[in-house]
Amino acid sequence: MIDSPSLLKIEQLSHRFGDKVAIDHVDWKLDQCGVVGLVGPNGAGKTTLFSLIAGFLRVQGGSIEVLGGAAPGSRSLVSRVAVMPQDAIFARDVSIVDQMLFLRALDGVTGTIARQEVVAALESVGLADQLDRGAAVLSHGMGKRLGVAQAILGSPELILLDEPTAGLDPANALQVRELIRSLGKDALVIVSSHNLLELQDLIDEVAVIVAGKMVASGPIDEVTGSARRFELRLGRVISPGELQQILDEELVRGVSQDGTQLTVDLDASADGGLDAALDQLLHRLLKLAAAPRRLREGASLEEAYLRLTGESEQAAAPLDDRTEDDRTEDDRTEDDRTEDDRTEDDRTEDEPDESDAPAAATTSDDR
Amino acid sequence: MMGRWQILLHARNFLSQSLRSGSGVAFIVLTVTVGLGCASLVFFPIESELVTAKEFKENAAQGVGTFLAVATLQPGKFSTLSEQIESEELVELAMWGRYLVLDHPVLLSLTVMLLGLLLPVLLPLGSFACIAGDVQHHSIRYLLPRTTRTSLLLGRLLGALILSWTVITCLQGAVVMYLGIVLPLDGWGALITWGFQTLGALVALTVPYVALGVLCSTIFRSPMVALMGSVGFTLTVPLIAFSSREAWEPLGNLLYLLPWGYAHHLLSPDGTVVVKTALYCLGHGLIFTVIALLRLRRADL
Repeated sequence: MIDSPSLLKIEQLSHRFGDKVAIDHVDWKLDQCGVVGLVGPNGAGKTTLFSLIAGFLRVQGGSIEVLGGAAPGSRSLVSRVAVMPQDAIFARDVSIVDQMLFLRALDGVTGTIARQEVVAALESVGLADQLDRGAAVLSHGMGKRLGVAQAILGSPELILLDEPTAGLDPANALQVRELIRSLGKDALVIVSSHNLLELQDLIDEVAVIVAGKMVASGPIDEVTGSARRFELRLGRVISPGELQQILDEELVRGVSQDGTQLTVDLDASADGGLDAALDQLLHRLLKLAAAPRRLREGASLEEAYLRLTGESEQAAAPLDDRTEDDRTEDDRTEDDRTEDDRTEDDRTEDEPDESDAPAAATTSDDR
Repeated sequence: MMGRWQILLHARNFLSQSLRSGSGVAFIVLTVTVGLGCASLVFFPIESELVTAKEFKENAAQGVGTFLAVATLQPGKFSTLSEQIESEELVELAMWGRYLVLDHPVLLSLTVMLLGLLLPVLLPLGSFACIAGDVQHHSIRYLLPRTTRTSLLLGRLLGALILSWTVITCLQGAVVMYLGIVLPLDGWGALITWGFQTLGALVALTVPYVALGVLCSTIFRSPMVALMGSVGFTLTVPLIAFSSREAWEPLGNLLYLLPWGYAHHLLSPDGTVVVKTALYCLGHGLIFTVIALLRLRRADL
């Protein structure tokens, strides 16, 4: 059987900056179009990985094959890969339409068609009214949107977006998310972001990178364990003995309690799958006269992220309580989140404390 | 085909951005100012009627001969060289001096010789930022997915060359016009013919120095450091060569690291020598370009 070529295939990729290991033997394979999230703490190596895939940095160890086997930066990838770098700036004194037309001309498209495409791209990020202005007068958020617009010009097959919604107001962030979602139908879109709530709704697959190592990757359901973890709010606090009874159920793999909040990890791999496991859990709770008042399916990407990166204790403190030294450019996305961005569940006062979540339940090694 | 198209696009874009940027405007203004300053310096004695054209030519032939003697690394002191040329011991150089001064419009010859000395320092101003500027601001990352590094570098080099050639042509045109209209010592025919020949010499001389600016722009990530590196190298090479030649003669060959050692042959009476020298200049430019290409293709951007 002949394997179909991967859209992105990374094998044993390593990269160093002097003594510092930025990427450490990373393997990653993506075969299908869609939106993929790349998450990790600050300095984990996300931007370095992007730069390697885009061909900005030379590969030091291992290999990268892009769009069916081409090396990053090779001639055959010209205009097939698009990148929105995190820190690049446009020429200050040249109108943005001229800069976009130049980029399109490099793709070989000029004249009316190019102009129509440029205007359409700028419209899709809400910048159509800024056509003739230079980048110097654009705000940070507008600059970000311009970066997204240039990345979607033409028909790139691989799109790398580094923090595309950082610094955007909610309406524009939503617009960009919708755009990314639509791009994922025909292209492989890899999005790096710290806004995990945003990513969770956007992506099909996720990869978690910590200290240069890829600690988890795959479909988001697998990585987050959302098919197995359930969070329940009970009518009363149950005793340790009752907790043990729940844990003794055949399809319950782990359970933790925080007041009336119960977090249960179910084994969905047995016959009957998740339904059977859930049935078993609910029956036990009804027998204990502790019927759940609320049941929420799935651990969030944020929880999986904290578990995989080992940041749960750090994150137990609200972001704004962290010292300024702990925060970097990347963290701004967290600040930029508004109430509108958060789901109903996020607002409940019963939100589980991540530091108490069972740690052994869903690591990638367990699966 | 796409590669050539992209090279032209990069060249056009570079020209367009240079004309809007401070460094490009500074290059144009400084080159024109220095060029006209050189011309004015040469014209001044005759314009002010301090000397007659005949006296000027006699002295100029002596000066040009001495300059060529120094440039061709003739052994001896300045005064000895002058005497040798006067007594026609250095026959070839004396002939060369007469060729530039008596056979051709002398004021144009002298202006071009001065430009040949000053342009190497000015030319990096037009090319130092062509890669480093984009690297420093990471804006090169918007370009790289859409173009090859080779196309980018060759396009920017072509743009810098066109900019330099345009400025030099305008400057040369202004000098020739002035000589033809205000100081009509020579006929238009002689002026225009010699104007084109000397313009060709300056155009050839431009290539290696612009390529050096581009090379420095690929080596250093900061445009200002690239500029200092380029100008510093251009000035340091002749200084070291001349000072170390006293200690050990072969060290004088350091001049050939840049066209300093042979550029004067672009004004030689022998056409074959002129063509060969122009080819050397192009070869020098090619070497710098190849090194710049290798450097850029392997660089982390």
